[in-house]
Amino acid sequence: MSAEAWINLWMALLWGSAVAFFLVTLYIVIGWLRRLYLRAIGKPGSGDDG
Amino acid sequence: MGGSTLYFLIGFFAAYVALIVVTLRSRVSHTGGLAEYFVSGRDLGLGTAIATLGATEIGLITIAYNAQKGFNEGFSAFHIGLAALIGCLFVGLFGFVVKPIRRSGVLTLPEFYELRFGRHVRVFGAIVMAIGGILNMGLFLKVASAFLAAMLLANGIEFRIDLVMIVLIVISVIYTCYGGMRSVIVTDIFQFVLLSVGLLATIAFLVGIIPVSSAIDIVREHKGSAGFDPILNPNFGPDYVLWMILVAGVVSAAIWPTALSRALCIKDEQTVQRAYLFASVIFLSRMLIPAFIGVLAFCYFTGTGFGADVEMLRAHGDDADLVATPLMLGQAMPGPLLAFLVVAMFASFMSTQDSYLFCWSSIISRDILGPLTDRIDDERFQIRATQVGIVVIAIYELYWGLIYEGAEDVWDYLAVSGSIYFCSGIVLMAGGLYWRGATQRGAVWALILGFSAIVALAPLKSALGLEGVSSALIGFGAIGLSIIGLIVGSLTERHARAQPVGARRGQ
Repeated sequence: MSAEAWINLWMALLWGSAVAFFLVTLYIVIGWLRRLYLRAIGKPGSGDDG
Repeated sequence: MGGSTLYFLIGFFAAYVALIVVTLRSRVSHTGGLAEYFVSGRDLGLGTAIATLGATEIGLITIAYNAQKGFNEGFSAFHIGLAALIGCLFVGLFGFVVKPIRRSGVLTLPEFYELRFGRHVRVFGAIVMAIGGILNMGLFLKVASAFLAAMLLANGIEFRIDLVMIVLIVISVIYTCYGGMRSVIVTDIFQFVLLSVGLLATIAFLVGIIPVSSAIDIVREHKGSAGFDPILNPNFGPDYVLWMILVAGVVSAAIWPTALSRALCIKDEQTVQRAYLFASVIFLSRMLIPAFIGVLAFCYFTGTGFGADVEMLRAHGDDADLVATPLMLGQAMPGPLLAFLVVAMFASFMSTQDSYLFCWSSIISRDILGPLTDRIDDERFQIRATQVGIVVIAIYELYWGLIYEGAEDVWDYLAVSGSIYFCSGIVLMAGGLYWRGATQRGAVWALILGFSAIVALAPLKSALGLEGVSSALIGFGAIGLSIIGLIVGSLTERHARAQPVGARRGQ
């Protein structure tokens, strides 16, 4: 593989991983807030446990 | 600048500690028995499982060693992230090891050794696992201290970082002893969110100073093709890349006990597999994003016009590659963002500490002390022994962090010390789960021969005159020996069993 091909691969992985990392974090935070909300309205256990 | 950063730092950290105290008080239960203390009641859903899997594998040490690799090797260090993605995807797609181990219902991994190979293998395997794991965490304190001290010093904040680190370890020890695995998982979630926000904000800020196109030009100018191509890079090469797919991917996800123990806490097998599929993205990011920050640090100090204080870097001599990234962060980032990142790193250091302290001490209490004293199911003894183990390992860590003088990069030290366990661990787990013919004798031989990976540690390597042999080759050799041990030991034991009793006695 040429250096240019490696650069393209690394850039795709870098920005792809940054976006995916952000989305996974968002998923976790939303799940967490949802559990807090469910607990606050008296319906605990309806969300993701643990 | 340093004064206001310090106020932000103290404020953020106090808020973090208050948050974990309040949350742990509401989440930790002391009525769930051994399963609650050791595997968090096995109730983790998908979101929590992803967070804890990700958090245990991304900490301050991960950032430090990947940034060091990025600084030294340029973009070609990104191959470690790609290897981690491939390895973890493989585990997530096929459920390799993680699904059957969850199905077995064990509380610790050596317990599976007993189910499959008998009690002697459980104790022996636990000893090998604990030695490899405890050696592995030996450099955590030293590396974390150097990293954080450089970061704060570059921003004009001087204080006794060694005392700060001791305080962080003490806090980790207290809450881990208090809540066991539940505490570990709760703090994992906070740490994961804090660190991911901190890292993404850092990258967004840094590429504003050093555009990616400039970084590519600077790396090309100073490192040539080796800065992009891991096969051409003399410090990597094909054997290293293959070794990374195994170590950073398959082993980190499916064999390394701190990660695999999370599979034991997840509510069912299907969720285990899905959690690993999602986590493969984190396994990629945890290597790639810090390596990219390390590349930016190289460009910051090597390029012109970025306002770097190069003399401050030169003053660190041989440690320059390790502290370049924190020095850049300290010099370039605004106070509030730097303070937030430092607190995220405090949290991630504590989170890695709690995972490792709990993992190794629970293995010592459940799989070494328990079987030897016949108190495996004695809840009070097990919890107390684990708590004592946590304290003792934390004290060892303080000692080892001061005396070890290895010559290898941090990541290579971690890979080699970890291989003391995983070279035989991967053979025993895979052999035990997927080969019906594996026997106790084969398992013992595999454990003994896999231990040969220890010769890759820098001091032993030079004592044996093996400096010219790469650690990757030694690791593959140790795995090969372990596989031979498992096969030959198992076949000879089965052959001996198949003989009539008289023939076995030589009559």
